[in-house]
Amino acid sequence: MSRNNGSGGGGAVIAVIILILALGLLYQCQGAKYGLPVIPMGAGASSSSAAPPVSGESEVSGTASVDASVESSVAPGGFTYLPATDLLPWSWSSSTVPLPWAATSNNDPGYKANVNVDNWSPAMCFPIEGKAYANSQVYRPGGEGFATPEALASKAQYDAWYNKAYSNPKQSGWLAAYNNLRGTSCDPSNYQYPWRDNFCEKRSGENALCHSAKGHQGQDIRPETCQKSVHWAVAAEDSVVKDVGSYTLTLRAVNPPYRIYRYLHMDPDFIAHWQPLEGTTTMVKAGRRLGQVGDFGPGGTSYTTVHLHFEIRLSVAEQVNGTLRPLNTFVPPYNALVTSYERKLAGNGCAVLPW
Amino acid sequence: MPLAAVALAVILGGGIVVSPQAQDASPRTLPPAAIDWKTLSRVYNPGVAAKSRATRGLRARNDQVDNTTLPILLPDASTGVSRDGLAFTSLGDVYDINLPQPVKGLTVLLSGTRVFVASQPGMFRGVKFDQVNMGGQPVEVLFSETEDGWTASFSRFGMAYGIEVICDEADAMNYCKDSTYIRKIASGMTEIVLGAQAEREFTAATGGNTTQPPRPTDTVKVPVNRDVLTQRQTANNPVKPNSSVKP
Repeated sequence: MSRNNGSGGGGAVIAVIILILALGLLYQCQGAKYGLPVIPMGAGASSSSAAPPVSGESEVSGTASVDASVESSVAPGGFTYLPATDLLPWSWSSSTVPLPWAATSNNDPGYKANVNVDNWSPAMCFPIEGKAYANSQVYRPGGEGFATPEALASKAQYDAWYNKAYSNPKQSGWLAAYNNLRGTSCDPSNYQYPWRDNFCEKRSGENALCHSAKGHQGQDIRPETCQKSVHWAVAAEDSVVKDVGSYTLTLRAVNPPYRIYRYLHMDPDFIAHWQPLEGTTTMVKAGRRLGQVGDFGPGGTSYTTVHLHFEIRLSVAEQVNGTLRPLNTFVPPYNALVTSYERKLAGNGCAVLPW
Repeated sequence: MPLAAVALAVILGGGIVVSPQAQDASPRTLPPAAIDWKTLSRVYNPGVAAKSRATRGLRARNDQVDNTTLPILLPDASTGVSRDGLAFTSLGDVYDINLPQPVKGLTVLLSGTRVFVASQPGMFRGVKFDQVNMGGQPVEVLFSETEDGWTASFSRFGMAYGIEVICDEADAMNYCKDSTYIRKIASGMTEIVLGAQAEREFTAATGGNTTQPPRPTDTVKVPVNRDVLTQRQTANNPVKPNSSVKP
């Protein structure tokens, strides 16, 4: 009886809350018309409805300043982030860089982010020591999917820098041309909040959770600075070392659901330490330093920008005709990264275990 | 929460979208899945299993093999995959096998698990599986190109199995330029090993009957290179040329 009474009163409260929520959403949608401050709300608002910006840099900077100014008072360290699946506008489309003088086509369903925003590792440790910036290393300054405002100012200038930057064999001055064309990865805008999801952005690999079944399989995270082999990556969970490559480290968590964590572009000098001895299993505790983040690729050579490509893989099962159909897949790490970073900034992160 | 606080939170808008509560929604981990022993009995060959168990890496980790609760799958001789550097790790309901190959920078990883996370309905809608003939059995396999190689995912006996090929040195790149190599491995994943615990479950479920004669497998001598790990460590010495930027 008392439960019934309670639910009746609760219903009225819920109705009021719904009304307030509706008003809030109306404000969110309409506020900008009246010059009121509006925080970007997600993919629908900031990506798909807006035309791709001519210059990625200006778009990036603008978003960062809006968010940081509004949210910095509530998040430790001024941390802000955009919602999961809100990718950079052109990073999921069929055109790599929107060139003002070229006809662009978005008929291709593209590499849109999936709609799954679950937290796939709610208790993990944040995988990098110190501050970090989760954002695309391809579609931001210094990346292949970015063009500077100067490069986009004229087709002739763009083509000249492009041809020089991609000359084969590399001619003198190619790096300067590349930097003029793409900017540099050390650009300050790459080292600002808000964070941005880049799981499923346009890449060549397959990904079952992206709309087109193709797209980026993890999250790019820049460490505090653009210096390589300075900042430590740490273990996300208590794990066994599953594999050590020339620039990759793969861990298998020891507790269900036995997630796989992959760390790419690591300094080979450090990860070589984890090569297992025959007949043994190497275990690492959550928070254990694993090695330093770099820009390394195949053969341990300098290959990309300084960042950690962080991946979570899981066996996920769906019911098909009454039976479980399991599949090993990449899952979006973004929300797990956000919550683990928030815990860390609030002083509730994992204790870092020394090298 | 007071209504005024709710109203304030709503008016600030974006905070609702990125609230920690929303992100804490975590998919449910299911209890270890049941093994389809009946299907296994049609393809399980104790003789082949005994021979596979005698593989150096498996023998060295007998305790871990015995504690593994699900069938362990290995590539047969037709795949050409060397087992010489085999490393086996088991956590009971999940196992990992690491097979460094004689080619510098080429590694084959195998895994199996009976622990899954529940997916949202239709999460994998649109995913196209390839049909692979795995020792006469048609099996749906999902192949994916990765940053450093290929993965294959498939299910047998109600379990999830994975193959990963990693190519991270120049000599190995040919094995990852397309899916040919991993497809060859997938079609040869026919050797099945049961640890002691799994064997007991299998016997309890089927009486230990199989339709396969207990004869040893034909073996093919694979190239022996005991310096594989050493080579990989050498390769790990970083070369640090002038900065270049590639994705």
